[in-house]
Amino acid sequence: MSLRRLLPAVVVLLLVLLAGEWATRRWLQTPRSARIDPRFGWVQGPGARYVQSAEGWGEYRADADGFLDRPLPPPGQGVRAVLLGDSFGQGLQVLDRERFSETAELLMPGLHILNTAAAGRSVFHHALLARRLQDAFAPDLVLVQLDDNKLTDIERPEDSAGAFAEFRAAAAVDRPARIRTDLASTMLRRSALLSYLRTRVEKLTRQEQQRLTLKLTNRKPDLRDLVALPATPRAKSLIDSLVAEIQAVNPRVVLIYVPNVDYFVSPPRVSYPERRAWFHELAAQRGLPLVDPSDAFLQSYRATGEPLHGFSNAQPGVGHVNARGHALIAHELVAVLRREGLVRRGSR
Amino acid sequence: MIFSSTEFLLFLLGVLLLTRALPSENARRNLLLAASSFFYSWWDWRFTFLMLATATIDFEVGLHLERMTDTGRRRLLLVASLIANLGVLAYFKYMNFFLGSLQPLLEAAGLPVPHLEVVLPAGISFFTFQSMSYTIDVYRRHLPATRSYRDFVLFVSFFPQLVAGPIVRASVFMPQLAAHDHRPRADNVRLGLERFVRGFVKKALFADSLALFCDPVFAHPGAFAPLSVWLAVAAYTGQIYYDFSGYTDMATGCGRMFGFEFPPNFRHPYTSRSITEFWRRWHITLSTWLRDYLYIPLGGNRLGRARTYLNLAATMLLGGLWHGANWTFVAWGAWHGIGLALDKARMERFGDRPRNTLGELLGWAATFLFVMVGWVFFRAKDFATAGTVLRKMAFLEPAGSHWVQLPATVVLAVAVVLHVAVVLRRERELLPDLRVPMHVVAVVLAMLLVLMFSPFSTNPFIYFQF
Repeated sequence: MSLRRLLPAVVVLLLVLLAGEWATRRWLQTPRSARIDPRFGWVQGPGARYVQSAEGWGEYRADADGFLDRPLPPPGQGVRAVLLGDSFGQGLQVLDRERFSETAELLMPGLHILNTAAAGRSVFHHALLARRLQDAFAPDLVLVQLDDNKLTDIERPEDSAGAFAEFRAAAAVDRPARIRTDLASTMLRRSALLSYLRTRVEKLTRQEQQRLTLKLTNRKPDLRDLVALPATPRAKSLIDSLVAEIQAVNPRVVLIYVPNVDYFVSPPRVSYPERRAWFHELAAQRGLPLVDPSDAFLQSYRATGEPLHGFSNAQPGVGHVNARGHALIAHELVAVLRREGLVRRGSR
Repeated sequence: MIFSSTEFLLFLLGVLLLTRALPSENARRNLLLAASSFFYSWWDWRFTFLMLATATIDFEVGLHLERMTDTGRRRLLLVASLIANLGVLAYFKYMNFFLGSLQPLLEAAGLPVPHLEVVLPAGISFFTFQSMSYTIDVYRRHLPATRSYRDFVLFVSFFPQLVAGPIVRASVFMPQLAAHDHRPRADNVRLGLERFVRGFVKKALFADSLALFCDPVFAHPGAFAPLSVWLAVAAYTGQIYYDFSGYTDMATGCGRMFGFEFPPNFRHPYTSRSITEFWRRWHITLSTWLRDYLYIPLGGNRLGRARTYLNLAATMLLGGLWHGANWTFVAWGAWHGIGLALDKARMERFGDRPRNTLGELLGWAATFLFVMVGWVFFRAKDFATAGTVLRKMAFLEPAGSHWVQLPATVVLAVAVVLHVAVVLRRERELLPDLRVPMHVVAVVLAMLLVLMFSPFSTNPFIYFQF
């Protein structure tokens, strides 16, 4: 094969790959920057840009501690709160300014929320983090975001083990980590395109493995909705005791319940009413205010026909809360903070 | 085994390597037959025997039809073969549909209405039609009966076109089987691979992305605003084309790797300017099958105008039923039957071709709208759903979510651009014939696009259910 025929092909391939790298970095996924911080577990690299496009779209910049939010002002300036939660609380599916933690700040000048929520975090994580965040930032308020899945996930051994392993690893992180520096590893780490392709290949491989395992073992996929099963007394007791631990660190705790909603049934309804009722019980027993936007979600859907979950690059009515949903949660949060008088006695 | 699955890619690679390694054509045909049986057994091994049974009947009938001279006895034998083929199809595909449709009558007569636990064998509609075309052609003495049982079973079960076509007739397949050496050659593998990748992109990138828009809307059409419903129906219009033509490309590509040339199944159907033209471009192997084995035997256009319209409507009605055991498919067939009859009347009155560009544009718009409305019946699970979708499309129920699936809408826009380009280039190939290094780059980039943007759904091909 002559060089005259090979060269244009190589040039075209390189140009397309470069364009792909730029577009991926800009819109799809930034290179992985996550690291384990000795105090806070998994966080992003300080100042790292973070783009999420798998469901909805969000572009973020990490603060000096690696949280995808602006840092809290020093104590004494307004009401300072930290938010503990999972992907529903983190809200990376919407723009930074659309997250409920940000919207609440706009609705209530003087309120500052540091959003430390992260995808996959369990109530074990929240309890472990509460002490560390209290020591680091001395917040006036602790906001704990919960949802129906928490009552199922809390019993998964990998959830508790994962949380403890993360913070054990965090404690040992001052030892220099062994990072592979060969060309392939460096490219994989630094290239957004390669990193994105790796994520996709991993997803595809998992999917194919599962499908083939089911086929070869002649089994049907388990399509049960585990969240629809009644929550066990053990799960309830675990969450109750973990919330008590958070309260012991800072008594000013506000619970935020993010509901799931069945929009396309007649009439639309909250998906797991028993679980919702139990979160109300938990709040009442612990003497904590509870933000529950369920009724606001249903009312909004009835009035507009627009679901509060789901995105234009995913499915409507399912998945994470969209910008409309975040706005409603923010309004409910601010209403509860005002009703409870938590904002007036906030600063120390 | 779905063409876009890991196991199929491994299977294909294995069959290619083995076929290439085998020393004789006889061994290669044996291997292709064994591979086709394995391919079919992957779904449910029991149905391999069903396929084998119908093939055996038609093989024997073919031999007898060729030997016999008595017209009455030959006709009787043909009818017996047709009853056997259609009986299998009726039992496995339509029994519960018939029983369900007769339920009010049976209940009124005080008879119990049973529901049979029947599993639909994959590809039954396709291999039955292929097999039937053989016996009819031998009966008509258009085709000599084959003497090789192995070759005939290979014709019926050849894995690239077994499950969802294209419907390859014995008159096309058998001469190719006899004439060529089916050792995979480098040029055939390269061309076949290119066609296969083209089909894979159509399926994994276009069809599966478009499904993300239409699936939720067709599941709950009442919850969406008219614009969303219109776009979802447009998305389905694109999905079914890319899904089926993607499958056809992959099947044709596989066939090509082993030296077989399948007949074309699609020729840019959405550029049609009349419904008659649409059926000359859409699922061509089925429409020509229906023309040759149903419409013409019914009398075609030889028995007067009224009978021609009736024949058209009846052919399309049965064509609709062939697609699935549901009244919505019958309605889809009837819709197209009426459309074809009206189009025939139009052509008789105003001539075949539009007189100017405006006429062509109006013809295209009317045809596309007609086809889109037809797809509503085809996609909807029942008439209530189809009714809601059509009311939304007529803006009679304006309320609902304005949700738009963005990636699917982008894919839809790309599809529109590609179709416009096809028209502007007067149906010449959009991609130039690339030389080897650039060809490899094009294939790599196509696969990269799929890897980056395909939704990775495990949707089987739509036509697999038929």
